[in-house]
Amino acid sequence: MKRFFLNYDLFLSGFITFIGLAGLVYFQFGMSPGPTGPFIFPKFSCFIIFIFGVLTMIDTIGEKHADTDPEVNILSVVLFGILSILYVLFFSRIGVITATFLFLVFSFSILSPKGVASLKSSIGYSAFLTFLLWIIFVRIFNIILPQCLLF
Amino acid sequence: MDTIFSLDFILTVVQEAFRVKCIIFSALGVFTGVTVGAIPGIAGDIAIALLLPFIYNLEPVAALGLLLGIYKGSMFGGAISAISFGVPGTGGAVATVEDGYRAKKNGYPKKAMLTALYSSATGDVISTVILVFLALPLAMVALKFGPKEYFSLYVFAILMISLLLQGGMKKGLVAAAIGLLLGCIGMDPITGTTRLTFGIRHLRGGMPLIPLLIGMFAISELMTQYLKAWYHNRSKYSKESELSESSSKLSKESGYNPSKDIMSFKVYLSSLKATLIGCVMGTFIGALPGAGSSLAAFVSYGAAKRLSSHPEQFGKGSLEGVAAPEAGNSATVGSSLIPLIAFGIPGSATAALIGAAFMMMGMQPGPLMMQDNMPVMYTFFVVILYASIMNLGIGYFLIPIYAKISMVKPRFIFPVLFILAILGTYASRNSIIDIWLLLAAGLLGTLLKKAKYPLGPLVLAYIIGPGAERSLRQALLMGRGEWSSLLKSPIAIGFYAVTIVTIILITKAKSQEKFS
Amino acid sequence: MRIMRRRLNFVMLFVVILLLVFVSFSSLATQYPEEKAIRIIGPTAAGGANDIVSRMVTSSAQQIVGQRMDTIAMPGAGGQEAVHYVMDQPHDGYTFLISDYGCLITPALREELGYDLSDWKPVIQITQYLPTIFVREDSPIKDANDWIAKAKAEPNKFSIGHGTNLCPPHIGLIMIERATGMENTWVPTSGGSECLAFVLGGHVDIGASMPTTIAPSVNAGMVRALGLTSTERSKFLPDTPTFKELGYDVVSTSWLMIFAYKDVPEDRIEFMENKLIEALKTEGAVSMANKLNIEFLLQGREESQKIYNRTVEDLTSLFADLNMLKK
Repeated sequence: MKRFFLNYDLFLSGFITFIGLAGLVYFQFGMSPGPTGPFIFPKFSCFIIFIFGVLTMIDTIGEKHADTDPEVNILSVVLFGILSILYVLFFSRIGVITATFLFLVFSFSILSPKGVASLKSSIGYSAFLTFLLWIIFVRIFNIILPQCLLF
Repeated sequence: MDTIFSLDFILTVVQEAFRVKCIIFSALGVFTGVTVGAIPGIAGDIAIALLLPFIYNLEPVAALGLLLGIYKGSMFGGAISAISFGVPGTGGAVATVEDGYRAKKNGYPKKAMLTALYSSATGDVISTVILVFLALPLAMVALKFGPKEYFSLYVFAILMISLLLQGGMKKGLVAAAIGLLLGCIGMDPITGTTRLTFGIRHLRGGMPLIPLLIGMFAISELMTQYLKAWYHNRSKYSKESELSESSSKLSKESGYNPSKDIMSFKVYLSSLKATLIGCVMGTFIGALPGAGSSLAAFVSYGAAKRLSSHPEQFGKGSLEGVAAPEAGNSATVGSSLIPLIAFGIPGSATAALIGAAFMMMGMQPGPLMMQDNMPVMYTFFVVILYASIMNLGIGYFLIPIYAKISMVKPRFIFPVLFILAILGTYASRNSIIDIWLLLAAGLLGTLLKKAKYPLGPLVLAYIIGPGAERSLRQALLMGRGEWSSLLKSPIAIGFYAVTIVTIILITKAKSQEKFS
Repeated sequence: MRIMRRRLNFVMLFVVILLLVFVSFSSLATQYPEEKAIRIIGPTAAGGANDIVSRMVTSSAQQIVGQRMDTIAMPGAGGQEAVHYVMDQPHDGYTFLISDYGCLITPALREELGYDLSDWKPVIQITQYLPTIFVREDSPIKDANDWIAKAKAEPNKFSIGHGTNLCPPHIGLIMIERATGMENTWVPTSGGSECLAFVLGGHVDIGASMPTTIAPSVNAGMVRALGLTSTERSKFLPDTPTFKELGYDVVSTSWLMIFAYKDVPEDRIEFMENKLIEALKTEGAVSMANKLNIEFLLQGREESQKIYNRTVEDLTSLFADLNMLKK
């Protein structure tokens, strides 16, 4: 069982196969009046997912799982993920320009080798890039973006 | 006929087409198109839609030159971000990512971009020439394509791409099926029944294309590549890592050799076969209303791989793998105007916008368009031709700039690309929900990529799946529910035969590969 | 060295403040002293017929209204994104919806979408769309009466292409069949263009679309229009009779209107009504409309409300008969 979850490929194939099976069961109870009904394509897709999902799982079980992927800085990934979600959440509340500026400032800091120590230079680059994006999207393409009080 | 070939007529046309205003607006259009196409999420049709109200004040040919320049430029522009960052700037550039981005990682980004440019321009010119001289015959062939024929074409395309791309046939088919399932979300194309929305109102119209495309490619690529790259620099800050980070060019230590990244005529010739395959496929598919540049690009890629003397190089940075889809998607520009001009039926969404522009200029697209507006139309054809040459020139000028941008430090480019992806996605439909879908698609793309599921078949199946379903059910409705009615068309039978032969040949080749 | 760095920091800070101020003042400069930009939200994709009309309206009306006017296309969720966006904005007269009945009324009759049809107040009607039945020029169907007779004699003999399910041409087709008692095989397509392509290619026997889509092909002699489901003939197809003229009690037209959501102040709606009608009567607007093959059929609030109410009643009755109303 542990090997199943540690082998990511196998785990994902298994999950996909499960989705295919779940879909087949779900659409079995849907209305499908003949071959021209609305559920024929979803059923067909789930069928293919299930069959080839099973075949992929069989292939994967036989393979030796070797973790050759380079390490990932989990903290950076998590921080960046949180930042991204916050950016989208506040996008329409505090205005695109403000949100973009703040996002860039913190992103550059997270990704910088110096970390928080690079906050000052991050502010400068962020302001410039935000201004550039504003020129392109709002001024040149005249796209209406969510605004706050000032911008 | 005599009128067209008279000296007076030719002189009038040439004089009008080469007026300074026309040239300037066409060049502006191409420049805008290339730039817009390179921004993930903003396709040429958004720029065209935004500019439509302003064209009233322009003369017809200048206005159409501007809009067409944008259309052409955006087709090539999509390749720039596809090659530089692995993010297709437009739907038509998805197939270019397969080999284009790999080429950049292998150390020849400029060669890849120039290959994309030259093959793009070749496809563009050839389809424009066909538009001018063969519009009506090709349009008549396109009319022969009804639901049965479209369905057979879609089956051929999906199967070929699923089997040909890296990652194995089984994973390719699973990815394609996932794409088909995603395409089923929303209102059923025939009865309007909502499917797989789970009560979420926003999904009534289906999973939108831009968030899926940008999320799958941009967000997932950014997540997997750039954050990994910064692991070592973050864990141990040192002067050496700062110096290596501050170098804005790929250093010799990283394997980049500028002397190996030079484009030459010989290199262009080596991918000419793939380019011509793309031109033929793209021109034909572009003339089929609704088929789209993505389909053209993928079919071109698949056909080029099939017919290549080095198919094993595809997916590993092969320039043929860049040339074919780029020629294919650019060739749809001229040919998508064929049904518009011949019958008033736009061959693509962008062609529909061009059609709206024609109408605003007082020219009704349709069978009488050429007859009623001959001098303007032939002037327009000349403008289209030289806009293709402009595309070449402007692209050549912009490539070094974009190549330099692609080499900016990852920690700066990554957040900016992310913002561009989000703003581009928001700009397409003014929807916050689209941005959440973008992030979700990014997560899905990351998970699939890690297990080596190819994203190309998924996206292609998603794009053409609704059309395939609609064609299938239309054909069955017309055939009164009989499945055998799908075979009552010589064109459809032809496509199915080619599909079966292709499957057999590919399976055989892959088995031989395994044994050897 | 430290002094240099400090100076650099101050310079950078100054540049940042300058940019922020510039951006904020530029934004302020786009806002009028008393009012902000008026937006017209469309539920169809950019570049489509309704979107083009909307952009034409905003570009003509800007100068007359005296404020910036924008068209925003929000085709998501089958048009419901646009509808709900307008509902969610402050009801202060700065956000309007431009729609035909396909995106506003039809879906609301079939499922619960969070609004009542009585919540929407028409400001003006811009034009009407007239569903038209047509065949290829060499079709064995001679005219509308011939079609009806043959179809009644052999049900489902003919296949008819129309736009999306329950779009205005499809509704027109349903009403013709109910009035005449014939049956045909309906083949939904992605829209008027695909429908025309199928008819020209001989894949379907008959098509149902709008005059603007088929007029060029009619004028070129490639298709023949059999009849319209309107009360009057279209100026783009002057030789095509209406089904009413042929003796069938079939009237089904679609309209394009601008709507305000409930609670928008009456004086603001009246202001927009007057200004929009004034703007669309100018020479420039009329000339633009002619180029787009659009015939303005301008109606004010009162008349538009009557037309809207009648459409709601007719569609409710039709869907009730077809057992398509929401439970």
